[in-house]
Amino acid sequence: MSATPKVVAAAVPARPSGQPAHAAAAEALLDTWLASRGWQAFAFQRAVWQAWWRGESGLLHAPTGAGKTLAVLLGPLALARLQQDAQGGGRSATRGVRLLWITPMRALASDSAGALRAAVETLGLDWQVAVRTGDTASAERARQDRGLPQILVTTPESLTLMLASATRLAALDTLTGVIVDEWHELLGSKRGVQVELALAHLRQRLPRLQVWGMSATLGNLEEARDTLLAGAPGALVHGAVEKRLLVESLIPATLERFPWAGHLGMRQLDGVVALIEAVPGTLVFTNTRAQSEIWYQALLERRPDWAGELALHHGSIDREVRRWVEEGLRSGSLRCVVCTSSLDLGVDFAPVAQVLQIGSPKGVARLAQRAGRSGHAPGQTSRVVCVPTHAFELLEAAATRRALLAGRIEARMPVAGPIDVLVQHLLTLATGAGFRPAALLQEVRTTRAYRELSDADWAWTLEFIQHGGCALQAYPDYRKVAIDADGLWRVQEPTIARRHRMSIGTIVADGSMEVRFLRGARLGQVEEGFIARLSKGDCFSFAGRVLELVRVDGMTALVRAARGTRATVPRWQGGKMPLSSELAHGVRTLLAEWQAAHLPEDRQAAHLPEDRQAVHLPVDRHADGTTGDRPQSTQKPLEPELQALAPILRLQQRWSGLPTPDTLLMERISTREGWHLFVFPCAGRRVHGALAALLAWRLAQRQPVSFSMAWNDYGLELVTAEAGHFTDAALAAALQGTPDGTQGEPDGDPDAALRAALLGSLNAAELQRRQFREIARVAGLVFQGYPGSGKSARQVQVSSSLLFDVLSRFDPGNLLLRQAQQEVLERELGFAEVRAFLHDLPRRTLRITEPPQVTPFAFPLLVERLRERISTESLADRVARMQRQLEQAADAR
Amino acid sequence: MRAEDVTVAHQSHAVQLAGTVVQAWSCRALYWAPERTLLVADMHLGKAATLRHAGIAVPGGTGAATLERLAEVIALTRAERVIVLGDLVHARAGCTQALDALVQAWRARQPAFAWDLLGGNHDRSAGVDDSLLGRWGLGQIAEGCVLGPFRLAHHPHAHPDAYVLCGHTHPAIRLQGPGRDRARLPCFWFGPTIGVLPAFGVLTGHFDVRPAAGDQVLAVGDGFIQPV
Repeated sequence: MSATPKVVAAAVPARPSGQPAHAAAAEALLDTWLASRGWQAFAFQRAVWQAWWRGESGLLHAPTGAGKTLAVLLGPLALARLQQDAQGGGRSATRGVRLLWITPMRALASDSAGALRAAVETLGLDWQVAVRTGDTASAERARQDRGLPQILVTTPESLTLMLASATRLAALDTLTGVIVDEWHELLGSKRGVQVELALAHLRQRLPRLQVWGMSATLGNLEEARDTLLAGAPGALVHGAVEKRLLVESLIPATLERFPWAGHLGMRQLDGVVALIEAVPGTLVFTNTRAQSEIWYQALLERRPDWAGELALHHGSIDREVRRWVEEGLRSGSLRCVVCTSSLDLGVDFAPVAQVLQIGSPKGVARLAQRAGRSGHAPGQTSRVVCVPTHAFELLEAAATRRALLAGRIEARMPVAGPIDVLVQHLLTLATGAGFRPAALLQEVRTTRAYRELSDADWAWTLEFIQHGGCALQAYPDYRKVAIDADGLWRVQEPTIARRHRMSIGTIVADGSMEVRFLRGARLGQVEEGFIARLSKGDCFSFAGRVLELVRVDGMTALVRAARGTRATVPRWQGGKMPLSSELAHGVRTLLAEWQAAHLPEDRQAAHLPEDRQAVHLPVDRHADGTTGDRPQSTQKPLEPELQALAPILRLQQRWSGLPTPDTLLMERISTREGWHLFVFPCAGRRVHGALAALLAWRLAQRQPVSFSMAWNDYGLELVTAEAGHFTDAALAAALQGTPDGTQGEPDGDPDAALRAALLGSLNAAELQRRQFREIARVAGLVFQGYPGSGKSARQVQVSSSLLFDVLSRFDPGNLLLRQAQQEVLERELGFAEVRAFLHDLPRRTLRITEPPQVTPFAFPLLVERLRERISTESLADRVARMQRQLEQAADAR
Repeated sequence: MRAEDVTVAHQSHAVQLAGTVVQAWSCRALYWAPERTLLVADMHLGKAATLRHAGIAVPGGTGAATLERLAEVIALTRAERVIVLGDLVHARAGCTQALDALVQAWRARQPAFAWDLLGGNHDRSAGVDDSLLGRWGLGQIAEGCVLGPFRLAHHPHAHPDAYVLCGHTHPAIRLQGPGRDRARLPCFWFGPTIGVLPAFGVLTGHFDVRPAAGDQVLAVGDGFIQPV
């Protein structure tokens, strides 16, 4: 809804035929109400109301701040108001909960409730709005159990918790609709699956339940809708309000020809200070919490006069402090906030004048979301300035801009069929009203996540919760779910039921410690592993201060303000985000365009020195001639980012070549360190990590050898001390996965062979053990205890890694182990992307060069590998020396 | 079981301690030859059943594997006496009839050896009594019992007169190799006055220790023992 009286052309007819009678009344009511305020509805808002009045479900896709809350809310509210008027305005005409509002973040729940309450009041509706999340006090919960409000704002976990109680579930029978906010946040995660299962259960009880989702822009909106609606037909409404989006880059005056990650950042400090100075409000987004700490300190050091106007906001900072910062943003008292994805979400945000992005956004959707934080109101321009910390991030900024203009946004794939979430769901229902397997299987199979659930997997899951394993080795001492006289599956032990309710949820955080001043003030949370590496008296940077560790007391790190300035910055988990495949594609295309503009294809071939050979892989299987990402017209002027990069690209071209969509560039070079192979697929860090391991493994199978490896978003490096491993034939064979490089895969499932090779090439057991942590918690195998649980709880604690080892040895057929393997393949190794890359290979020309020196693209990989071995300080010295030598070589030729 | 029957690789390492030499075994047992005595700590039998009782699905076989490991090291060392330094069993809920039958049958298959339990905190809370000791053929010894130059205990409390050998803490050590090569392994941890054995049970967790300079730490894994 907008207060601006600007008329938006309605694409949707005001009263389409076939609209039910109450719809006309509801629309008239809203029109009158809108007119009385001088407001005008957007076409998409009207479209959603009308769909609601027709009883439809759907997905609304609109940017933040475009008025989507009122779009999904006013439909049901108008109906309720009509009903209230018809009943003579008596108090609480409609008893019981009518709408469920699901939000992905607890922290957003009260903000959402505020916005909903305002809408309810202004429409003169006698409805209550309340919040129920993990933070809700028990007194408030008890009050809600006596009578739910008409609108309940909750999280996926709290909704699931209501399914774990027969009476709470029955209290939801008055629902007419469920609205899922920020569905894109939930979609790609197990929490999304949790929502799918809960909705399936509600739908089965309430066949006319209407479900609406709201989503930011995604590459697969239809799939997002179908997942939310379990495949049932539904509307997909696009928010018509497009904001102008301006993406710029802060281009440094000089660029090193041999860049390495993280180094350039602080040299941009003055430019960043100037940008912040120029306008009243700036958000500085960083990709990691550590980076935000560093930038906050650096800005404050450069501009001490900004103390009090500069704030820090990330997920580990104490909630009260974060609230204060958000308030400061709203009131405009802060000049600048340095933040992480902690400010990606959120309702009712004060628009800031500009957004800075430190480092590459690594994804198109991510930058769009962040840019949307400026010029928040409909019709205004959003402006984001990318601040590269690495020369190649200029490429990424340019590629992001193009992708945004072309509307190429990443898809977010729904999670398919996780057994751990299914186990949790069955236990939840068994803890509540109980279930009957045949009916429940039908219900579960209505969801997208489990529509292909096999009978065998279902049978295993039932055995698992009833017997603790397969029936052949049933354990008499196992107690969890039992079948009662009526054939209902139920949890009967109160302790087991209580423990299950305590541990519902799918998000797993590492053990975190509270950081607190000796005098008592809380600063926030930091990961246990970080504190464990510190000794008493060590200094570290946290929440924008330099702190000295005094002592550790249980799960609290007690600190005092440090006098010194040398500090370690905590490294939080999460860390490095791979370049999205859309962005990687964009980067490859840009490079191809630059190449085409600066050196025509024929000249390039003619000038190819003898030592650079083009080797063509035998093209057999996929010779359909399709080239997904061939460069377009090259006549338009190149982006400023590319112009700035010209010296680097020219040198890269002179010494070797550029990675483009149609070639796979490989560089062979020997140094004092040994024989290096650089490969530049430009496909993102995750794929390169898996490819490096795969190539090393396949090369070593020809001839035993050991490699050290490095990878980044552009390519990978293998190094070995012995000569003769990187011959053309060996490389072609290793890429194709055949011993001699002449023929394709043997008969059988080529995916299975690749899967086995990938798992075999890595320390896959260790990765799976780590992945199993989350699975074990979701499936209820490890229990983290709860306040007041004493020795008896400790006796039943077992670590997930111990459990993983025991299951691998004593129950290797356990489906949760299979899931750990799948998740490692999909999430850690990017199996689908690796497969797509290998599939696409025959189409590409394999170009192997032997450059005279380490090239600009290879240099960061060299540094990446060194980084693991030596301390940062000596690394910086060594890198500087190498850079000087390479610069001299570049100038000499 | 005879030494020839042991098919699994086990490795031992000699450690100078309190003026004598002990053999630390990769299967987490400590052997002192002069009295042909084998020490193990923290077997936690019945832990799987305890977990299952609480609704945590743990497969069977861990208790049998723990006992099998003990039989192997007894066969290899030809020990005549085995002392458990506490926490033989995990909890009351795990002391099932099935466990009783398992241990009795196992004991019947082994050659004769003296078997003593020095009770630990878990044994006490699980209610290990004379009847159970009798059925399993276990003798009982007290905290502070003397073995040559050593004082045996469950808890790691130093003593002014003798070097203490004990369990209870389930020590583990983190190792870091080149690059991203990392491992966390159970370990023997010999300090100046106290030596701690790794937990012997197959289904036991471990806790990181921070050895002081001069401490001897031996990491153990499948078939290997390695001073670090």
